[in-house]
Amino acid sequence: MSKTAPFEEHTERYEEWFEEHDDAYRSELAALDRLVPATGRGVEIGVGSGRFAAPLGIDVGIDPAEAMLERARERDVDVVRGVAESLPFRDGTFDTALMVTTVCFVDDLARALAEANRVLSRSGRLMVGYIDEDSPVGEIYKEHKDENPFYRDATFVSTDELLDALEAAGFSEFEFVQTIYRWLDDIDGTEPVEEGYGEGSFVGIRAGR
Amino acid sequence: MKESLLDILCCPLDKGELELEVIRENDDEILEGRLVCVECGEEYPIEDGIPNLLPPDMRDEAAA
Repeated sequence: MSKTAPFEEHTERYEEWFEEHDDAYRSELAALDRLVPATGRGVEIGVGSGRFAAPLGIDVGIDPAEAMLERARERDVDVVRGVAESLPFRDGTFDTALMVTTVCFVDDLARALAEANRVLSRSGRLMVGYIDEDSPVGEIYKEHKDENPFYRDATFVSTDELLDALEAAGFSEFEFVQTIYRWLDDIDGTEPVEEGYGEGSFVGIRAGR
Repeated sequence: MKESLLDILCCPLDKGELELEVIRENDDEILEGRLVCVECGEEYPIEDGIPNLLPPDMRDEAAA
């Protein structure tokens, strides 16, 4: 739970990030919007304050940080307090599972991905959005992680590492989108969303089974 | 939480079904109550409209 504490204490600061980095937020949202289907029942694992679940039409959100969930609830997300490694959802419940900048905060990635697999229906898909460790923003986050209360305890991942973990958890048929090609303070307007990965700092993966 | 959410929830430990005990509710939601696992008997509180389905050892850690 050590990684949860900053999200309970710095809710305001977390919300401010989105206000101050509106172009980055909108770029990330546009990238994920390409992957997330408009229909079916969805869950966001690590929903935070609902900044992604609400506009993407994801109905249910789970997070360990209560202060975050109160915000998500105000954004009309059905919230549940819990952890990714022990999801309190029945097998095959969801058509969509979304994890946005969550994989760097989970204690046990293999278990979290196995649980995401379990709660998805047979045709369900997992969407993962994250800051690629090997990218302009990833490099700077890693360099300055000790100065940031959220990222101090984070474990950043490269796309190749994440793909290995996804395959080990039974996922396949990967599709990629990417965006944000410069450091956040140098962005002026929303950044383009492109297919693939390797250039953008924010990568979205859609995985089937 | 909305009562309909119960259809998709289960115990985070053994994935058993949960039984709902309502303490306080309004027209839309259950505000205070308990979810009890029919398999292991573990009780999960609903507080301020939010069901707390953290594994019990993490719930205690969070409260400390």
